[in-house]
Formats: sequence, C-alpha cells, structure tokens
Amino acid sequence: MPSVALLGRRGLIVALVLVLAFFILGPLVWLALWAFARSWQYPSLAPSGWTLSWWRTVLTTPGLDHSIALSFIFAPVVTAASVLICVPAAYGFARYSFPGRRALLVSLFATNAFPKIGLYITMAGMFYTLHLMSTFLGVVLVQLIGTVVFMTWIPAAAFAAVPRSLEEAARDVGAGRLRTFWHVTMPLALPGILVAVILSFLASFDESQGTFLVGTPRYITMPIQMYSLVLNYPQQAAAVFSILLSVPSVVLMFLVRRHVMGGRLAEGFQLK
Amino acid sequence: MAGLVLAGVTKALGGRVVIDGVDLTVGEGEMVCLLGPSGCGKTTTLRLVAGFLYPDSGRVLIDSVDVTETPPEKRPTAMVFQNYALWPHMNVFSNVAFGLRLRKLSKEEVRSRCEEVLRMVNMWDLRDRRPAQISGGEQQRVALARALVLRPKLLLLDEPLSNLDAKLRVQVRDEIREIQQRVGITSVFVTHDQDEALSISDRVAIMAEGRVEQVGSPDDVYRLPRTTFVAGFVGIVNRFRGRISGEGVHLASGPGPVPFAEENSKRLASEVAGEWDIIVRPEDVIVEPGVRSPNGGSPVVLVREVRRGHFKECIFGFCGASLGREQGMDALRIRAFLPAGGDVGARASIKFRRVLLYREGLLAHEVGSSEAGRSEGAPVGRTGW
Amino acid sequence: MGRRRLTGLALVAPPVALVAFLVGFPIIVAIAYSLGQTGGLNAAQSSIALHEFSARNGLVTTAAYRSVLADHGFIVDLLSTLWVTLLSTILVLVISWSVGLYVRFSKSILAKALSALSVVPLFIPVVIASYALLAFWSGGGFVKSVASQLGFPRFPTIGYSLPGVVIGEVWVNVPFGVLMIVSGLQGVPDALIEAARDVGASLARATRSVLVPMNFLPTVIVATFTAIYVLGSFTVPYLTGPTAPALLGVDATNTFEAYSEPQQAEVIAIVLFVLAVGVGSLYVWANVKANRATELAR
Repeated sequence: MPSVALLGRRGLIVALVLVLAFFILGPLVWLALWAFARSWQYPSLAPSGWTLSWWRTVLTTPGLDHSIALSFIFAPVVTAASVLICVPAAYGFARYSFPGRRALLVSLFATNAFPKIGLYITMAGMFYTLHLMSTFLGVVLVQLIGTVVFMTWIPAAAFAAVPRSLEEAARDVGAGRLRTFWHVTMPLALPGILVAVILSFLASFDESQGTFLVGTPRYITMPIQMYSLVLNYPQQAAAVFSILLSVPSVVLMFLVRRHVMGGRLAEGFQLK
Repeated sequence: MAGLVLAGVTKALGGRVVIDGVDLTVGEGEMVCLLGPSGCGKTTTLRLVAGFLYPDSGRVLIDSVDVTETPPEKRPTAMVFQNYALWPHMNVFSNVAFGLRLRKLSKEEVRSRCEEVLRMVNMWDLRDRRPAQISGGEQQRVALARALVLRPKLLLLDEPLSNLDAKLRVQVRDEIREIQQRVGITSVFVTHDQDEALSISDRVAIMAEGRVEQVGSPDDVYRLPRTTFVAGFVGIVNRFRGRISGEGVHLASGPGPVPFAEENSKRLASEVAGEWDIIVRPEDVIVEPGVRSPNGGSPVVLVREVRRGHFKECIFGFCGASLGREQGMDALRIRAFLPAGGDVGARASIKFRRVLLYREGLLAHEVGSSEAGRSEGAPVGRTGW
Repeated sequence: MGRRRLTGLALVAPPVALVAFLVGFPIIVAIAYSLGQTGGLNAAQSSIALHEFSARNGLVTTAAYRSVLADHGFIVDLLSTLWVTLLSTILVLVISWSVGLYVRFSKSILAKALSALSVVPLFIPVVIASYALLAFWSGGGFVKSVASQLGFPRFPTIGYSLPGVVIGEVWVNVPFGVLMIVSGLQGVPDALIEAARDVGASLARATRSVLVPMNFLPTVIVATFTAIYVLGSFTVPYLTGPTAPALLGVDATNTFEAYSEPQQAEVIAIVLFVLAVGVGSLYVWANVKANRATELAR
C-alpha cells in the first residue's frame, strides 16, 4: 500500500540516517584523510597530495615503540587483575543476598561519579607517602579503578541471567558448587564477561590522565604520547597516531560487537 | 452485530505458504472455532482478520464491508490475546478504559461502561489492581472485558484457555460461551484442543496446512468427518485398510472378518467394492466378553485398559492362530469404550456397528449406523459448508 | 549472619576494598583538605599549594569554599558546565529514542545501519574522538571548508567552543544511550502494542501510551549516566572547548596544575561530586521505584 505519506516517511528516515552518518563518521573519515595528506590547505575539501611519509615519521618517533609496548603490557595486566578481583565479586552480587548488597553495588559507581582530577590530587599525596609514584604497581592501580564498574556490573548481570534451574540440575546430578560454577554458570555467562573484559582492556589502554600523573616520567603509554604529539607535530602526524591508537579498540570491539549489540551491556546497568 | 467472510485468502510468511486459499463464513452471533494442530495456519488466519497481517490475495469482509486493507485500529474487531497482553503499567480499570478513552467518551460514560463489563466478568472489585497482582484466570477475564467494552462487531480469541490449568479451563470456557451467547456477539476463536472446540462452538472449522479441511457443527464434524485427517484429529479412531463383504470387514493386515452388528449393513456391504481406508469410532465397536460369542463376533483379547472417569477405554488385540498368544507392539489394536473393563488377557469378541470408508483421504461411504439411526450405506458427498 | 551471607560479603570484599582504598578514602581526604585539613596526608600537596586556607581551630573552615564560590569566573564555569550537561543529555536522549523507535518497528537494512552507526563511537578512544571532532568542526575543518566553498566564509567556527563541547559529549555518549533504549524497547512484547492498536490506538498513540511509560527506567539510566559523565568529563572539553569559559573538570585540572592551588581544585571537584551524587540519586530512586513495582506482584 504505497502512498505519498509512506514515501515521505521513508525519505525522512533516509535523511536521519544520512545526518547521523555525517555526524558520527564524518570526523573519523576526515581524520583518516589527514593521515595520508602531503599538505592540505583550507578551504579545499581534499589534500593537495597524498603521501605515506607521515607514517614513517610517526613510526620512527623516539620512544614510540616503547610506549606502544608499555600500553600492551599494562592493559593485559590490569585486565587480568580486574578479572581476579571483580568477577568473583560479580558472582557474589548476582547469586548471594547480604545486607547492603545494592548499596555496595551502587557505591562502586562512585569511581565514575567523582571527577578523576579530584581523585588524583589526593591520590598523588597518598602515593607519595606509600612510595607508589612512578612505579609499575602505581600505574596498575590507577588504571584498575577505571575498570571496576565494567568488571562487576556487567558480569553480575550475566551471572544473574543464567537460569537457576540449570545450576540446580547440575547440583541434582551430584556436581558440587565449584564444579557447577565452572561447567554450567561460567560458560553461559562468558559472553557478558567477555564484553566486560574487552571494555576494561580498552579503558586501561586509553587511560591517560591518571597514568600521566602517576607514571611519568618513567612510564609513558600511548595516550600520553598522543598529547605530546598533538602539541609538537603537525596535524598529519597526530592523525597517523590516532589511527594507530584506535586499531586495538576497533579490532577488539569488532570481535564482541554481536554481544554488545545483543543487550548484555544494557542489562548490566539496571539494579536488580 | 455482523458476520465475517473470508474469501480465497492466501498468505505466505518467510517463503512458506501459511494460509492457502481459505474460505470461511461466520454468521451473525455465531461462535466459530478454528481448530487444528500447530502450524496449520489458524492463528495466522485470526491475526489476518484482526488486521495485524494483510493477505497476499483474497478478501476479508466484516459486516459486508471490505476491510482487507484496513489497519487494525480501524477494524471493528477486538481480540483476546493468548498471553492476555494486559498493559503492566496500568491497573485493571485503565486497561479496560483505554480503548474508550481513545474514543473521547465522557468520564461518566467510560466509568459506567467499564463497570458494566467488569461486573459481567466479576472483576469490578479488583479494578485497582495491577496485572502482576492478579491470577492468570483473572487476567484472562480482564482481557475479555477489555475486548467486550468496545462493543465490537467481531470478537477474536487466540487460544484463550491454553495458559490456564485444566480445571479452570473447563469452567472458564463455559463462562466465555455464556457471555458470548448473552451478548450475542459474533466470535471466532482459535484452539488446538478439540475438546474445547466441540464443546462451546456453533460450528468448527478444522484446519491443516493452511487449508480448511471441513466446516460444520461439532456433531457433523464428529460423526461424518470429511477427511481422514479430520477423523483422526477430532476424537479417537480405529483406522486400518480393508475390504467390505457380506461377512463383514476384512482387515488388510490379516485378522477378520469382523462382522457387522446390524443385518441391514450386510446387505449394503456388497455394494462397496475394493480396498478402503476404514475408520471406526471406539463407541461403534460392540464388545461381548467370553471366548466364543453366540452371534459370531471376531475373537480378541484385552491387552490394556485406560481409565477415563466413568468409562474405560479398552484396547484389544486380535487372537492369532494360537489363541492367547500376545502379539508385538506393531500389531493391530482396536479401541473400544466400555462401562466396565476386565482383566488383561480376558477374551472377548467384537463387531462393528458403523464404519466410515475413505478413499484418497476423502469420505466416500458410511456403512451401518449409530443410535441416531441415519440412512445406512449411503454414499456421502461433500459435507455442507 | 548466615554462612551464605558471609560468603557473599567475602566474595564482594576485594573490589569494594579496592574502591574504598583508592577512591573512597581519597574522597574523604579530599573533603577534609577542602575544609582546611592541610596536614597529614595532605601535607605533600600543601607544601606546594598557593592561596591555601588552613583550619585555624583545628577542625574545619569553609574559607576555601567561600573563596571559590565567590569567584566570578568559577560561577560562569559552573553555569556553563550545567547547560552543556543539560543540552548534551537532552540531545543524547532524543537521538537514542529516535533510533530506538525506528529499530523497534522496522527490520529493514536502514534500521540495522542506524544501530550499527550509533555504536561506532564505542570503538574509538575518547582522546582520538575529541581530536577528530575538533579537526572536523574547527577553523580548518570540514564544516568550515564546505561553508567557505559554498560562499559562507564567515560561518561560525564550532571548534574550541562550548557548542563544540556539546557535539563532542553527544558523540561520545550516543552509543550507551542507543544501546539502553533499543534494548528497553525490544523488551516490550509485540502483543502489548498490538493490543493497543486492536482497541483503536494509532501506532503513535500506542508508542506514547505503552512503549514510553514502560521504558521509564532505561530513559532515566541514560539521562543520569550521560549527565554524570559530562559533569566530570575532562578530555572532551579540554581538547575541544574554549579556554574560557571552561567546564569544571578542566577548571579543576587547571587550578591544580597551572595555578598550583590544589585546595581550590579539590573544592571544585567536590562541587562536581555533589552535583553527580544528586543526579545519581535520581538513578537510585528510579531503580527502587521499578523494583518496588515488580515486588508488589509477588
């Protein structure tokens, strides 16, 4: 039953998609173009020439390989620590009831509610006293904070979503609590946990302010290096580095995109 | 009040033809049931009438008005959904009042109509409760009230009883029927439960694979099922291949002949030659206990009996050359209904009072008669629509 | 307490302890510092602090607060932060609901494109995103270039401005909003909408009367999380915003790093925290309300 109204509505939707595509993809495409630009004068809509020379410049920047390596060392370490500390807690939040359960769950969110700079100022004082400044452990701790909400809320929702009847069936045929967890609960909650792991990895990978405060001058990660690149090099170099810094993000998120879109993320943010 | 006409309706979903040329007429004030197994297209047909689907071809007429292209909100139909679909954020009263408020009726009118219909289903006292706070049966009544309050021309019910427990089901279906008759509203309901269909509808339409196999009163459909599918779906049957002769029914698999209970049948039997798909209802199997019956019935042995309240369903196996030897799982079994049962292994003899003969799935002849005393042996044409 | 309860508490202890140590404790120390406790753990900061106010009577002084709140620049920054937060939140909600409604009612390729598009910002680190947005919208960027080509060289520059910050904050927060609303809308069974249409409601009316009320909680979640994020955000306003007025997150950092006034920086941080807690309490209230509704049913 086509009609003018239907065509008009369709046109509106196409317009919406185009506007959204422009808004979201525009800046990314623009920056990507800059990474290959020889030189680009305003107000032309394309660079005057194309080159890969900026890639060479960036890739041979002193200290770059070091910062890349550091980023790829810290992120897995922080993520692993986060898993060890938070996932059992997530199970506790999901399957056990104890006084203050919801309050504690919400309080973990305080890590996001208090502006980071405010935390870092006092944390700097604490770290000085505890001799944690410019130490590996110090940086790990700072990055760990940013992962706590992801690693507790999302796995907690994933655990809660496993039907109790499946666990009960396992206990019924003789499996103990640990075995049930390992063979029944864990596999079913794994997609949600995986999303949390990747979000935590990326949170640690992209963390800049805290790492800058605690880690410099000894530990310089990729995001910190980004700031100095932006200040000292032309736009093309910054564009190249942006692409480099985005690659792990894009790859990892692409791997779990199905689970993220499938609603696991959304479930994690309701207080049940 | 109005009637419904479906003419040549076809619908394909996901590449599969779900409704394949359905014709159906529902008269004013009638309650017609769409009965059939899962996947037969009955729910799709109902949703088509409601307007949630549009047919690929064919027409839908309500009260002689062509509504084939009309969207659901403009059709004079009201539906009771299978899971009731009560809005959880509104209380019982608001659920029922919603449709009325859309029509911009005055507050007093809304209230009086809601009260009228809620009292009819005995839910007026619970009008402030939320759906989550009332039982399944109560939710169903609210769903019914919500549909009736609009005084629609057509009431549609989508398996309304399937989520209720067995005892409640019988009680509620009688209530629905009683209300439907009292208000006189034309209704179509969908179910896979033949017991339900036969007990409360004026006519039943049996559906299979997107087509209507037979439409008729519950009696007609039960007594003279037009196809073997209908015969097997509605009620219990004994079914086998065989021939008919003056001596009785010769089963293709060996046993027999099972004699007819009535003399007249023997006379007419010679007129139906050839092999047939034969169907015999359990109540048309005459059983006499004892090894050899005085009037020469076929010898059988009781294999199993199933209690059914005030009668028993007895399952017999034919006696082989060596009397009393049990036969295997695939052996032919005959079911009969008897007021009292017996011990497993007890001997009896059977005769058939009435058999239905089918060829290529369609009913061709009825031989014998039940108590109603219809004409015997008459070839049966298409049962009326 | 039962053994199960103890096990539960034991399981959740590690992250709670971590947060208490690395966040809770610093917050308390920060509050103390802002109220004049300049010794002890705060001594290190104190030694380099300028314009500090110590609590002379040994307990508390509100001098730091009075000083900050009296500063005209701070008030301007506070108001800027508030309207940027409000506008960003509203825009995120509008986009999320638009995409959500379309995805709910349509299975077309356009719908899939919309939802895939909306999630893209999740893939990009915030630092990179801010930089890309700045390059795109600022003086030498795409928007200005197009405007100039079309004959409008004086088209307003959106880089290094508060509207630019709004664009950036919206860009970064759209994915979460869309995911939550899409998931919430999918959670409403088709039958409930069909039932509304069956009794005569148009699709628009069914949306208003059924879908919207049933998605109160996801909407509150998106609004509160976005607001809290924008309130305390640093990277986006730092890279895309003007030098003045600055959002409070940037303000606090500048106060600490450029002006060497850690105490005043903490005051600003605490003001932000109070605002965030206020917004957060909305989130808690909405959840409690939703849970109570489900509990009534039992």
